[in-house]
Amino acid sequence: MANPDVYEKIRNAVIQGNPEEVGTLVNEALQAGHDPVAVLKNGLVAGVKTVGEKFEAGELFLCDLIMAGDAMTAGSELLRGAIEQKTHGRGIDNSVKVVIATVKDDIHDIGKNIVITMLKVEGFEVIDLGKDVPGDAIVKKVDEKKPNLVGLSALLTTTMIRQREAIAALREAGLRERVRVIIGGAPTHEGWAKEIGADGWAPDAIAAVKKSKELLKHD
Amino acid sequence: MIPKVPRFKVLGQEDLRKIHETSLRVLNEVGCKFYHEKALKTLDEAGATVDHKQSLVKFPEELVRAAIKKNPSKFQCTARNPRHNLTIGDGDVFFTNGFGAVSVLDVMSGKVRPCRLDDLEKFTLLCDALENVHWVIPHCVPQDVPKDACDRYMAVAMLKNTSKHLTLTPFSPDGLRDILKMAAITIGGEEEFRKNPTIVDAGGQPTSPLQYGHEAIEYLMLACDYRTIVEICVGPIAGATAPATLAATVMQGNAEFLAGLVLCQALSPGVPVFYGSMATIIDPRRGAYAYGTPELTLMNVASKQMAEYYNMPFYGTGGTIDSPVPDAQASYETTMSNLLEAVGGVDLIHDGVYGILESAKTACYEQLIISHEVTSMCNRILRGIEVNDKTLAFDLVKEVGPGRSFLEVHKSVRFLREVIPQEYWLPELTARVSSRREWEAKASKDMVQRARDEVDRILREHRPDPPLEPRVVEQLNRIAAESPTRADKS
Repeated sequence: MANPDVYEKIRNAVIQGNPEEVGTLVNEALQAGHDPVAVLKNGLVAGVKTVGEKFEAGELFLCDLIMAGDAMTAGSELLRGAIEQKTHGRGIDNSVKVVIATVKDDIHDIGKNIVITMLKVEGFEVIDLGKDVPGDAIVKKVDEKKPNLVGLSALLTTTMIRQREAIAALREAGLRERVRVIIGGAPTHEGWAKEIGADGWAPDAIAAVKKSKELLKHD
Repeated sequence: MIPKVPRFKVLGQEDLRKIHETSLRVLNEVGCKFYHEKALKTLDEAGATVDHKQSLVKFPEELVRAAIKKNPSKFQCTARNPRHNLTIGDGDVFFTNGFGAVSVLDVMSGKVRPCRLDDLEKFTLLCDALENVHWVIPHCVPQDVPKDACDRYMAVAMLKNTSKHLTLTPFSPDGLRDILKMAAITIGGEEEFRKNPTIVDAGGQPTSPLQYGHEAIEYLMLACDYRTIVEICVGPIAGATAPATLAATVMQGNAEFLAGLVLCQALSPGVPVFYGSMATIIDPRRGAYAYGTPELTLMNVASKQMAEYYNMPFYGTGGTIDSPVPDAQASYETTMSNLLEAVGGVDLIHDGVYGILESAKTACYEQLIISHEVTSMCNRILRGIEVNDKTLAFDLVKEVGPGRSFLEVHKSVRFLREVIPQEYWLPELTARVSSRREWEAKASKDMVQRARDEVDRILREHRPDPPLEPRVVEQLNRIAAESPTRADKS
């Protein structure tokens, strides 16, 4: 019943960044009785990992990475139901949860969105709060979703200060010790991260993923 | 310097018309968001179609055309020392220094450290001394002062160290109020400032694609109220915050500028709004903002042409550098955009005397001097070749005749001496080595080392003219020290 060709085809469609093709192939695989978890791991995730590696090596462009991410999302949406059925509603429980936001008064969210793509590629479950997000909204979501990690982005020297406020809000709500906090954005730096009590800082999206993994290793 | 050479252009008349018409269509059919109730109300009353729920404004063509007509085609920028007053829009090409680094490279050790308040003071003082910095902007953002009051401390540092025209950057609307108050104090108080508000400029930048944030609008409103020079600097990034092509990026930036222009002209008709751009591309490999790119140069020259199409001056971004060190790459990056934008007639080359590395992140004293040398060379190019009977020197050619050197004939040597100041670029720092041994005898210094010496010399010798009176400095310091942490509370 297992047909390794199917996985390879799905991997290739992910690498090509073709959501329609991925959708067709995933449906075919499910109809043919393939294990949905295997389709996810050997097909979608494996494909997107290849793209991630090639991106990191400078062989592929950011747009290739985003398109692969889109293709993977299309496939995993189709698999979600089948996986839940198979695991009796538990889903895949080993995923790391991240709440991420561009802080209050800042509406620059391109960098944050690139980080989200990279995190998804690495298999993180990402809860995106969007841009111009005040501290109390972050607190509320952290309380509700219980993530492992909180990411705070700011592009402007004028909005960096909101990162500190968001961390202070988490502390006041008694949630700070439950999560790791990572910050980023062009004007931020390691010293700033230390000063405002973040656990980590990253200068770009690739480093953000590395740092996130490093921070969570100790949990 | 008014360019005497043919203008470098990248767009034809038909291209300009197409970009203009597509911009109008974007403003009419897609619209621009303004996250500010009062701005929405103003635009509504001015005749735009406003969706308050979505903060979305759509503009009828006539409204945009009328705003374009209301904007002045030239304006004065005054300075504390009137010798540094500038008229923008007369065809002159001016330069600023770089903007907003957060760290500083120590070239000797190769280490990067956070920027301090004394760095901003030193960079401002250097800019005061360097003749091709015509307009001074905050070179770096100090990391060693309270964040909440940082904009006020920066303003003091800059007002103290230059008598040239200034951009002072606020971090909050309250910050801008304090900064304007400080600028007013340096010229004799609020009343004097109301009469002469162009001593500083202020402005608000859109966030691509097609939105103006709440704080940016607050800044624009304050600037329009005082009638300072109102800067609107668009910054679409091709491939990230604008469609992938350069044409679309220039067009979208143009639409964003026009949307802000309509607001400003509705708030304060005839206020001088300065069209600016820092359009560039995303690095397709890394997804990072790339700043030293040829695409930046092309788009800024194109936007200069758009501004000219509207009969208004333009400030472009040039001289910018991606290289993390002051190396050969830094030199060709800072040269390429400065030169082409200068011959492109960009009225103010924002960042021209750059002095920052690593895509706007890390300031570098030596690079400031090197970029200044580049702008000095650009100015020589702008002067072009003057052709007339005197410069053609037929009589001298006849007198010296075939086969003799022009250094043998007294009259021709005298002519050389006479024309050197107009004809020749006379670099102070660029090495012209007639003998390698002579250069080696002077410690074999490369340009970075010579620039280092020049930084030391200027900091040692130069003081702003006139200095700010101690009484005034004290008042400014008090405002900074007293500025509560209110920016922190909102």
